Amino acid sequence: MRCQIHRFIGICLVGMVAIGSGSAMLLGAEPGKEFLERLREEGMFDLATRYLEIYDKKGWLPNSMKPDVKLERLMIIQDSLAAARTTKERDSRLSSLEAGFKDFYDSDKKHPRRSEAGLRLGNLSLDRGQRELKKLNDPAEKKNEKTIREAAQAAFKQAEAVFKSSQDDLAAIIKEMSGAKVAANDAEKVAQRKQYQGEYRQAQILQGLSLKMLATSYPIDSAQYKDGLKKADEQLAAVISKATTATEVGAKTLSRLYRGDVQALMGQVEQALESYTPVADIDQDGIFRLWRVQATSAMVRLLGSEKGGNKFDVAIKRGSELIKQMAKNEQANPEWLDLQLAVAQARLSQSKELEKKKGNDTASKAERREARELLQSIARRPGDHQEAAKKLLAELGIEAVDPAATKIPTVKTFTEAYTEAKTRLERSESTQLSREILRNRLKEVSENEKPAIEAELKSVDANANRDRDQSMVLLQRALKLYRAADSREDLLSARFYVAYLFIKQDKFWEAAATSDFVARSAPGTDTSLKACGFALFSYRKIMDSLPADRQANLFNSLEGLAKYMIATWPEAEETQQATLTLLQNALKNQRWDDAERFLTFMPKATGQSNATRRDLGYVLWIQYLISQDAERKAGKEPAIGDITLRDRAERLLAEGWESLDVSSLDQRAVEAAAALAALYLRTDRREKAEAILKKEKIGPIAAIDAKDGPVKAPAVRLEVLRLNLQLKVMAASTGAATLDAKEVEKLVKSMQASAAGNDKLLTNTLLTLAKDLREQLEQVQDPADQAKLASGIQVLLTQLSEVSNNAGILDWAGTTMWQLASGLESKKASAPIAKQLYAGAVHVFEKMLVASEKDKAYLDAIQRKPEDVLLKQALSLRGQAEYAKAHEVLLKILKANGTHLTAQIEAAKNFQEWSANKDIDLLKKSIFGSDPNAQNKNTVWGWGQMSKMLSSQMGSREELKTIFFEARLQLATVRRLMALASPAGADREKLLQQSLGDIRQTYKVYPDLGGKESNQKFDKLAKDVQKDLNLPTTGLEGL
Amino acid sequence: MCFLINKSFDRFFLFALCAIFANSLMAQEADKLYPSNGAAVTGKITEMTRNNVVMEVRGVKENFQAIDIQRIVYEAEPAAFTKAKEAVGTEQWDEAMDSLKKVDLKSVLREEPKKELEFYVGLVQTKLAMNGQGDPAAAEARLLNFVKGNTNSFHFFDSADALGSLAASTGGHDQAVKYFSVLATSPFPAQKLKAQYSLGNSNLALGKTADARTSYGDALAGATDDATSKRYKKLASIGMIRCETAEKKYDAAIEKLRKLVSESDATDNELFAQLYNALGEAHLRAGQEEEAVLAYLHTDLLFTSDPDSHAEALYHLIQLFTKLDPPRVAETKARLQSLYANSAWTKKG
Repeated sequence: MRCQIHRFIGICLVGMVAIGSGSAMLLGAEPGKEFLERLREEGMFDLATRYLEIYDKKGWLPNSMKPDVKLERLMIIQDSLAAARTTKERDSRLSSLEAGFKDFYDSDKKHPRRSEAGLRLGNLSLDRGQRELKKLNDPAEKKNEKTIREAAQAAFKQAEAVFKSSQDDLAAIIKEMSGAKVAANDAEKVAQRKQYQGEYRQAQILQGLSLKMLATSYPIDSAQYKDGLKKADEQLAAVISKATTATEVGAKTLSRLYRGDVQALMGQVEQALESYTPVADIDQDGIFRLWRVQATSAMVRLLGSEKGGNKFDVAIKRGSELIKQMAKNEQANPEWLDLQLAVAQARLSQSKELEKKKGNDTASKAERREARELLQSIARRPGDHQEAAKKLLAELGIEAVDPAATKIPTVKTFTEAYTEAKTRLERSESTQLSREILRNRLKEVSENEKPAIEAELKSVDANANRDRDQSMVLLQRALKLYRAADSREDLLSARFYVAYLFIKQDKFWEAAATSDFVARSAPGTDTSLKACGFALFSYRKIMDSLPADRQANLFNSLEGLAKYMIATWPEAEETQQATLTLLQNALKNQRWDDAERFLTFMPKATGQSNATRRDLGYVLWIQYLISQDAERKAGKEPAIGDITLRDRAERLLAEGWESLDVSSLDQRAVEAAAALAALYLRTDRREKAEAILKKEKIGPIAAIDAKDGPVKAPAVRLEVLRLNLQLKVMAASTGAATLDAKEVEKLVKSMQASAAGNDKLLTNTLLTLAKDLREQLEQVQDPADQAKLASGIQVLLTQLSEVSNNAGILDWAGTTMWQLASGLESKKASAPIAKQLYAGAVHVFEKMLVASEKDKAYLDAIQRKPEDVLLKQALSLRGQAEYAKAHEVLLKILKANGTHLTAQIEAAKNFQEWSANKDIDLLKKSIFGSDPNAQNKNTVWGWGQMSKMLSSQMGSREELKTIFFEARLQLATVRRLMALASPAGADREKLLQQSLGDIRQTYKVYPDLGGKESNQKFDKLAKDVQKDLNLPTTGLEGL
Repeated sequence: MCFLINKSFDRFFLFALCAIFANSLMAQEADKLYPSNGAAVTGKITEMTRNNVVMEVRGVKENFQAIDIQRIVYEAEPAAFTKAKEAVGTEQWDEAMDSLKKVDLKSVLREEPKKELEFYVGLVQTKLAMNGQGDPAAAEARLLNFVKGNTNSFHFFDSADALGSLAASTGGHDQAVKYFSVLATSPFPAQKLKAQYSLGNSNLALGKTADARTSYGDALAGATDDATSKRYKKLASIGMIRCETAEKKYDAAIEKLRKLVSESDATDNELFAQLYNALGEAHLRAGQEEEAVLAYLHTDLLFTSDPDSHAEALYHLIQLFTKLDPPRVAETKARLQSLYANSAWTKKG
């Protein structure tokens, strides 16, 4: 089976060139060729390309290389194909490469390296044809078989033509350089001639290969198939007979290998074996070794075939002997994997053959076991062989347990113990495959067969557990048996396996200690890095299971490990994971200093580092907001610590923002950028916030506007829109811009669309906007500036309420206007704005009420009742000094629900304010109520009735008690006001005495007067009244 | 017949034994001096200064300049010591140390080889430390100890050279200036030139561009014109161009360095490593980062024999890859750390 054809062709070319030429550093010139070769060897294809571009442009390349730049570039791209990450990427590169080589080949017929380009072009065509044929393995492509075959044939024909043409060109050149035409001492020319001769042979061989491939693209019984193979055979035979010199061993060997393939396809078994044998017998390194493996695989298959006489013994012997010579670094090589597959197939066939005869059970089982081991070993490795290996394993079923294997063997040396342990560990690891096979079988078999397979699955697990346990015992014995003469590398591996087994056994403390030790024992090695991964995993597991107060020591160990990893593998993902673990823990426990320190562990200027710094900034910002909110609720100014927290958040967020580019833009980055903009807005740096929000391509606004952009979460989109809205208000308030109603409308609609029906989310966003704007307003010291900002807010809210019918938005807009007006009305500069805000609020609430009249469920979305809206409307009207209207609205509420206590309080207050402390009738209404109903009971209770009602009902209900004392206080206050509004005389004094009596009565019955604050109010009022009565101002004490 | 055979065999055996014995006696009687060029000379070392060694050869005193002596094998010195000296001659430092460890001190009877053993142990430790193996401070102390007690050894200037190179490679340029200044007192032009060139490098590293120019200038003005001198002059001219880079004359520096590339012998590994590092530095400072990467990569991929230059290139590649190609940083850093653990460049990174 020659399944690795593309790779094979590549190897072939490289190998042939290597055989034919050497390189030496030139004197007195840029060592371009050598440097390019080394860059290729190191897989630095991108740098190789840049080298050619830059050095060519600057004229630094040696003269000999200058004409070859285009070709070299193409060759680098071809060499880089193996590094292509996706098939699509590879196919795309291949197409452009083929076009590039064709262009070079066709356009410069005099170029000394044209033939080399021709070989590459032919190879690419061969590769293309091969890829086409491979499609036929996909059943879905069966319907396109004809088209696929035709495409493959076209590619093979093109390849064959290019190789043929190259030979013609090269023959002419070689003829011109033949014999004495090139002076023997002209080393350069002699070397060039040798190069052309090598290329000529390559072209011949590859033409033979093209003919073979073309033949196989036709149906097996067609004339083209047979004729094509015959031509290929003739072509390759010709090369074998002509390649006679010592320098042409490579060409001869490869031709034999290919000819063997052709002869096998033609059914000429003996001749094929004759061709393969010398290739399989060569004992040389490099490309010859790979050819040897391929020839051996082909021989194993041929010998084990019916045409080959089913000579399984011979096949197995030849294959197995070579497998024994396989080096560790060859284990993942496709050619070696294929050889093992071929031998496994031969062993299985042999096993079947043995089964047919009596008395061969043991031998048959032995063959099956050997085959299984080979298949299990290769099935774990990726490649074309994998599917076939898994299929064969599935057919084989699961291995029966050998009772002898259940015992722990006696071991006397480190090596014995280590080897036995390793065997068991590898066996236990391979059970994953067995499980997979059994599970697949479970899906296919009938119900009757399932119990047996399930039992088999259990048995597989039990075997794996036993193997792991035994492996641990043996490894621990190995560690005790270790002597200086034993391999230190194996000792390290033994400890590494112990750590792994500890993890498997959930013994994380032991695993952490062992893997940490292994990690530091061999710095810079792969084992050490893997051990770091184990240690990290173990530390995390332990941390998850420990309370925070017991994590300190563990944390120190983890920090030590992280530092070691940073010093050794600064860029490794494991290192970043270690640092992230430290960081997460520090954040979880709010150890901000530690968190920042751990951040310095991360490599600077990497995507991960920038993102982590930015995320920490975001976390600190949120922490600041929470803290500030708590301070505000407690009535305190922001603490210094909070400001420091905010500054730190700003620094980290700004660093994250500065390193942001299109490639790293994701939702988290947008959230962080929005947070930074919010921070700037809060700290009155509008321009900076604007620069972030509106930055092209990466700004939050651009990010949410982008089609298929990174922001998916509605909350993030809403946050960005909110900030944009806030920015506009603030800009308008400073006169920097006008607030365009249409723009606001557009933004609000975007917010509604982003909320996608989640009214709560929308409302919360708007409430945050209101809160931020209110805070902004509070921060502005200058009354004129405050008025400007308030005006901007008023415009925003009014326009919002104009464009929206959404209950949440309207409620938010009305309430915000009302609340802002309440805060501003006492300031002279803001009073006119406060009036406008109240008017706006009234209008908005009216709109809501009209809507709720039409749609009874309108307010349900915001869990409000019409009376709630009416109450706010009444308060807004009162703010506007529209007392009569406010009274009407309150009456409406109370007529519907007379016990609406808030409405009763506000109605009494409304009379009080309406009176301007002068109108005695209104003041009386404040005390005694108004608007008698049909039962001649006042709809509005007034403070007097209210306090009577409450005294009998309040009991121990604190909320009612508070209102009761407030009502009593207002009762006494209003009586005093009535007195003061009356002319001096007996009536006035009587009213003052009544006021004092109200206070005394309350004080006698309820000496605490509802608490300290309320007590102080009563005391002050008492003193005021005492003063009015020219009594000693003893306050409550004198009553 | 049988008797005859046995008799003749015995005679042959006796003859062979005598020959071996005679050779052995001769070896014990003579010191052997291996000049840098020419055949070994056998005789008796009679005098030694830091500048020359006098050997009495068949009754005639012959004078050998210290710089022309490759090694001296003292009579009856342990074979392991001789092997170590051979390994030093081919710069096989690990092998040399292995052999030195096998030397049985009790078997070194004469004073000269005893002293010389100190030198070789110090020298090999120094070279190993420069390659990242062992403690540089211990190596320096050992070699310095030898120098202090043996100011008249013909290894005196070699010691100064090794001490200066070690100090420079570990970033101790102030100390390196002191050692190279001692080397500069050598009467031999090649050593003097090397000292001047090295002084230039250390001064440049210390940021003393004017002093560096003077040192490089001294080297370039040297009268000798043999191959070694020419080489040091070329290295000094690279140093001179690095001074221009330090003075921000990037374009001129790059042009001159490119000219040197086209005129120089690319098989001189150290020279080309210096050249491409100088180019890397000029490009880097000029903000041409891709060009800088390519220049340093020349050193990393083609010219790695000089540890200090290679470490320097790796250090700069790490910095540049961090910015331009982060996935390559880890592997490059690992190489710098594993190859040159003691280098100042490693510590800097």
